[in-house]
This record gives sequence, structure tokens and C-alpha cells, in this order.
Amino acid sequence: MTRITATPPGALDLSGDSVRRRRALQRATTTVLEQAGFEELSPPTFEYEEVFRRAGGAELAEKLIRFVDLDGRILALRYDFTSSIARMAATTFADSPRPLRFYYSGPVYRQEPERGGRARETLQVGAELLGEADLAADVEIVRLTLALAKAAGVRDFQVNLGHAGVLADGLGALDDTLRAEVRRWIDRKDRGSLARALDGTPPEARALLELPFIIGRRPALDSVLRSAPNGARAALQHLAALDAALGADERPHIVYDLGEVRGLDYYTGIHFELFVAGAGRAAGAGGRYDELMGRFGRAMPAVGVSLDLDAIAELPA
Amino acid sequence: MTRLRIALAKGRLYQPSVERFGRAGAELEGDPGRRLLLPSSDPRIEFLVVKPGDVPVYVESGAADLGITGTDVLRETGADVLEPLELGFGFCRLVVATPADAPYPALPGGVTARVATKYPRLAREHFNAQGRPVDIIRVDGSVEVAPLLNLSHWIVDLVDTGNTLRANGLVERETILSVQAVLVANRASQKLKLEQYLDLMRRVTDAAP
Repeated sequence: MTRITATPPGALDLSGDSVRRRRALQRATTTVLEQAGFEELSPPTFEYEEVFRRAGGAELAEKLIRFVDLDGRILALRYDFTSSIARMAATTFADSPRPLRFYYSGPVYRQEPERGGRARETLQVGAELLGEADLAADVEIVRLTLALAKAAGVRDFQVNLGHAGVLADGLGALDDTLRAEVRRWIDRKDRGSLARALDGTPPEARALLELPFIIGRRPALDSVLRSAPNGARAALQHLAALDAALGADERPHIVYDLGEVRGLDYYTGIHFELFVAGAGRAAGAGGRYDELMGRFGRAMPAVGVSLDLDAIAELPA
Repeated sequence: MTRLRIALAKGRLYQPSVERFGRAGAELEGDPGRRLLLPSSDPRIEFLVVKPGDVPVYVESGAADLGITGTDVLRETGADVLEPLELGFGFCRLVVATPADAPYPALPGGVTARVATKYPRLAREHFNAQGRPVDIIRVDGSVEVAPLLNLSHWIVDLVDTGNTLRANGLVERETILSVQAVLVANRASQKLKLEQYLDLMRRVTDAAP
């Protein structure tokens, strides 16, 4: 008898409806992206690992699935599409007229703790809008996110939308150690510990007691607009302007959420997550990362979104 | 009507958790010995009673919206959940303990210490952070007898009064973590069921003794 060959932890064999659902989601979402004027890019499945670290920072290293090339250089499986597309935009498309609109669809590979058993391959679809810094580009990506969620057939969904500028001044007023601690309490939504940590800090930091817990529709934004410190106010006004640009059918899906501190080292403007009823984790994320392209030697503003099609495909019926 | 499903841990946190929710207007109804899912006096809240080590897993995955767990279990699993409220009960500490006559913090002759524990991850992180290589042995119970039986040199375990340690001739050497019960919440659920979440947070906060 032949021995059964095992699969590594986190590698999935898909068949039947699991495959059909994913293909249908890919078709529906890429159709929306084509119609919106985005062009598909197909970057390689592996890159020099340096590409991903350059885009995502040194902490990313442990999340990469790495291997060694014949010449000894370190390669990594595609951690995300954005890094590769930034690299391509800085090289292949360096002289193309802007803005650039690209989309992608395919698997990404992320290291999970050994024997944790979580999937290490995830199917994504997403879009990048490069070379456009104004509000209209932010609005375009948020609307696109809503259109993608609708096309994916998700009935009950919401986009939690924040802005990196809301907490920037407050966090900037703290020293590195305290900032890390404060970010941890905000991330856990632990108000009690946050209040203790902020006791005796400079006045600019006191806004961190209130702003991160603002979550709701447009009135929630307006409630803090007047009292917010200057830096935060500009960010809040940007969100209010974005809100005004959305349609009446779109606004019900938007929740303003000023307490998301993950990715604050990456995002420079709006940032958001897509939540879908029935999924225990975000089914998509995006935002503005104007510093990304500069890391590839071709500074230009950038905003984008990616959807986790596995999370949507696995929703309970 | 969407319901909030709350995971409760069997064991030492169970009774104080039930009492806290009772005071918050959600009396547990039914016998947890018979059923996994139990209704409460508040039709918008139901309870799920599971093993203590499973609460973070249920909440992280979204199978439960919220839960009550000890910070020992929570840090050991490394679950990615919201942790909005310290509950002020279930206090104890995770410590390194050794037989009273055992050398510490190093064994003579360059011998690598064997450490028995139910918390391999927290134990490893603790010794790693100090640059002290040890051999971690994962056991599921009766950790305090491991040194007596020569399974390990030292142990890492939860201590409340310290009576169990003393009865086995062990002394505390270092505290790794101060432990108490915390309310945890699924990250997506907090966004999708925001109003119910905020309402429950208020009630549980106000119901503190």
C-alpha cells in the first residue's frame, strides 16, 4: 500500500463548492474592477523578500514564507500584492501618465505559528489607485470597496472608516515606551488601563482618552469636530467631506471608527476595514499609504483596498 | 433580533462570572451540566459554558461574541481579541517555583534546567527574554509534583494562596504575570453589534461590586 502524503499545516485542499464559490467571487469582483477602469496586473508569486520588508517594515519578516534562491539570496512567497505593484509602478510604469489604476486577484502567503493550523494561503482581490492625493481618490476607493462587497453577494456588511491623522498628534506627544503601551490599550479598547497610562501626560495626549472611542455614523464625527485638537480636526473634516461625497445608498454601510490603531505605521490618511455579518474577522481592508511608493524610489500618493475572498466564501449560508 | 453569545469558563472563574452577569441583568437560566448553550433572563444574551482554555478560541473565531477568561489563559493562547474590561476577580499570579533547596536562577555545572508547566508559551517567553535557555516540559495537571518526581527541576504555575506550593516543599522565585479575570470580545462582533456591545459593557461595568 502506498503511504499517504501529508500536507503542511495551513495548506488547504479545496474542491467542489469551495472552489466554485471562490471562482464566482473572483469573476464578480474582477468584473466590477474592469468596469471601474482598473487594469489587471499579475506580479510574480515570489519576490526577493526585501520587496515585502521595504513596503511593510522589518516586523513583517517573521510573517513571510521564505526560501533560498540558487545564488543564496532570500526569496519570499507573495505576502501581499501591494508591495509588488508598488515595485512595478516604480519601474515598468515609471513614465506612464498618472493616475494609475491597477487591480489584482490571487493568493497571498503568510506565515502562521507552527502547528497553529491556520491557513497560510488566502485568496485576495484588490485595487490600487496611484498618483492621486485628493479626496476624490479616497472617495473612489471607498465606493469601490462597497461595490465589491455588493458584487460579492454579501448582504449585511459595513466599512469601519478612520483616519491616521486623528490620533497622530496625541500619540506623537508621548515617548516611545508610553506610546507603545497606549497603542496597546487603545487596540484592546481597554479604557481603564488607558486612563491610568495617560495620567500626568501632556494636554495634547489627553484627547486619546476620548477620540479612540468615537464610533458611529456622521453625528458621531460631528460630536467631536469642534472640541478636537487642530491636527485631529483636519482629519475629521476630511472624513466629513468624504461622507458628504457618498450617496444615500452608500452611507448606511459606513461607520466612522476612530479607535483603530493597527497599521498606523503604514497608513497616512484614511484607513478602513470591511466587516461582514457571520465572519469573525475583517473581510477586507484598505486606506491611503502615501509613503509607500517613495520606499521604491518613486514617491507618489497611493490608496487601495484588498478583500479576503476566503472569508467571504466561507460565510455560513 | 441579533443575540450576544457569551463564553464562560468552567472552573474557578465560573461562579463570579455568573454572579456578575446576574447583577448586570442577565441571569443564567438552566443547568450547565446538561447543555452547552444556555439562555439568560435577557432574551438578547445567551451563554456558552466551555473549558477555561477554550474561551479565547471561541471568542477569537467569532463563535462567541464575548467571553470571560483569565489573563493567564489569554496570554498563553495569544488570541487576537479585544480586552475592554478588567473584572476585578480571579486574582492570582503565574510564578516560577522551585524546591526550597534547589539552586536558582541557574543550576550548577551548566546543566540546562527542565521546567514543567501548563503554560509553555509564557514560560518560554519569560526565560527567553532573560536569555536563560531552559527545557520546557508541557504537562496538563499536578505541575507541583513534577520536581518531586524528577520530571523537572523547576515549575511555572498559577499561585493563589501559595498553600499548594508549600505543601509540596516549593518556594516562589519570580512572578511572570499578575492574573485576573477580563472581559474579552471578538473584534468583528464589536463592530457589527456595536450597540449591544456598548450596552453590555455599561451594564457589566456598573455591576461591579
